[in-house]
Amino acid sequence: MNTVLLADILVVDDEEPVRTSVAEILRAAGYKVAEAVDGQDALDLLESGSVTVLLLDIRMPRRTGIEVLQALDSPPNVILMSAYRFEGEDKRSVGHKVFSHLMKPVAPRQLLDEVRAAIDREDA
Amino acid sequence: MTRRWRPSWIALVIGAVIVFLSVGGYFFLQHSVDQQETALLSSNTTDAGQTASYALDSVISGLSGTAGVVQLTNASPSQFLDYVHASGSSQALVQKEGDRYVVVASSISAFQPGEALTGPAIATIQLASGKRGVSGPVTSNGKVSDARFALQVPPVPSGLYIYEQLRIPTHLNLVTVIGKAYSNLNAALYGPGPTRPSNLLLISTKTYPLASPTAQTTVRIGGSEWTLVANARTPFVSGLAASGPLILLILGLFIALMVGLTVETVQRRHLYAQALVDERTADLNESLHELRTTQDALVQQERLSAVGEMASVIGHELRNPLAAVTNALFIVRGDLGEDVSQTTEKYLSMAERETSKAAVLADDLTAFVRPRELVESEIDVPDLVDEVLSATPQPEDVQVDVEVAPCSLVGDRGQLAEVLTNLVTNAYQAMPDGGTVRLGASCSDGHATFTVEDTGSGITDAAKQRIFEPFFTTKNSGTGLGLAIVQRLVEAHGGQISLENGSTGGVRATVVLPVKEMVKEKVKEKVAG
Repeated sequence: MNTVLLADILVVDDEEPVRTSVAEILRAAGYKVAEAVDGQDALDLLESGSVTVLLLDIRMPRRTGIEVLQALDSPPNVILMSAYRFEGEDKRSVGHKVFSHLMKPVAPRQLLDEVRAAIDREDA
Repeated sequence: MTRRWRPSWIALVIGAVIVFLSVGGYFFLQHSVDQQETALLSSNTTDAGQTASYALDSVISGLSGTAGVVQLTNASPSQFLDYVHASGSSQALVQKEGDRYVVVASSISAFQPGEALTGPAIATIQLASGKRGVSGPVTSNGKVSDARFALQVPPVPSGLYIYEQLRIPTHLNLVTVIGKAYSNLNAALYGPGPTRPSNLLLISTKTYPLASPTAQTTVRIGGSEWTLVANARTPFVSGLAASGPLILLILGLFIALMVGLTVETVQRRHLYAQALVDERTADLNESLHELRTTQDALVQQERLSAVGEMASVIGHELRNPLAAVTNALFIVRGDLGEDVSQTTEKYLSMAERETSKAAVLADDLTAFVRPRELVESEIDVPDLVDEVLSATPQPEDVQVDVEVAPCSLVGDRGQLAEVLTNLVTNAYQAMPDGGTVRLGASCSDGHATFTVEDTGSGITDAAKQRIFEPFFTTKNSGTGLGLAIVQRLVEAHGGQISLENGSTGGVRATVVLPVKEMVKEKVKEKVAG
């Protein structure tokens, strides 16, 4: 696929304090980070380029995290990070496209470990 | 409902009083009637005696008449007989000759002139000696009776006597003979001496002796005492007066029965109404109680539902700010580097610690509102218990006794571990000064039973009522969601949890879970996988 690498990681969260702080932590860890304010914004961005890891909230305006996953045929490594559980119908429909699910609040170190694991999987 | 008929005591008492009064009245009236009857019989008998006395005295008067003729005719036998035949009397002229009494002339066929008198005739003559006129013994053979009379012809002693023997049928209708005084009486007239059949002159009825009650009167005839015995032909006191006592008795008994029945009926209606009221009241109370219970349950449900809703909102809405704060603290700490002041470090740590606590609260709230979906697997019970005990730090002065039977069940391992961990932690915390925790697990009859018992100070009844309510806690710290979550997890497994005070006085928690088997397809999958 001849696409431009948009960033290492795309952080998608409509909650601005969460989104910016997560992006800050990841940048401080040396990653190239892009941000999207909701699901639609994320899909738009992903059309213009690819990422290695998609950090995705579930409940968002315009497009939810689940809808984003349904729209993507072959998404990058997806780490769901939400205030709600990922189970039931959602899990059955897009569970196979998800690398892992973390419940907010996520300890920053755990987040970094999870991102590392996702990138390592990509490398492997 | 069938009940043996048993009259009420009030009806019995009232009935008994009326019966008593009726019977008393009956005897009192009957006694008056009897007294009146006796008095009337007595006075009638006396009157009858009087009549008898006059009638028989007239026989003696007749003797006097004959005596006058004997004197005038100088005791001529022929003229005596002429006179006697003319008067229709049965008389004999008797001459005393020494010890013998010889018949001079007689209109009595039994006595012939020149014949000496014998038996009762002599007794009669002897009685008459020196007297104006006497009655002698009476004899009877049951069919005919003889009355004897005698008189000595003056001047006394002349030795001449007139003897009369009156022969009459023993059974005689006295009304026609003597008169009206006997119309109401059955009477028996006895000659002088005791009242014996042989001495009976006449009786006005076929029945001998006379039936009681009888009255008796003495009748003086020619110096002898005769006896008249009589009873009433029909009762003197008759009609309404005689029936009065019986009417009173019957009426009284009838009234007693009616009043008794009326009282009984009224009493029964009263009791029935009372029973009906009691029953309805009981029904009403029961309904009221049910209504209250239902209302309480509804209120409780409503409250829990409201609490759940709020908990859900808070649980989720806290997560984003907590995430932001957690991240912010991490960034700040990274920026500050190693070289921070003691105060900064103290408060930074405090902020991190409290944020973690808030995160735990958010987890609890989420778990309480809706437990996550069950991920079932076959769980080895001893293995589960080991896992829980090793993951829960045991306080130094607490001893743990484990008694676990080797068995297994199907359930969500993570959730069941959480249940046991919670109970064991509670047990540890209930014994701040140390003690023993007994942890038991066994399987039987399709159920797995877990018990966790501590030797703490137990639980009050009031706390027991609310122990599974969310946010209710007996501890100084804690959200009060632990047991509420445990209950939800147990119920999600189709089980039950209960808490009570154990034999040692501490709390004993009992969890009973159904031992399910893995669905076969899953087992197959597992084997195939």
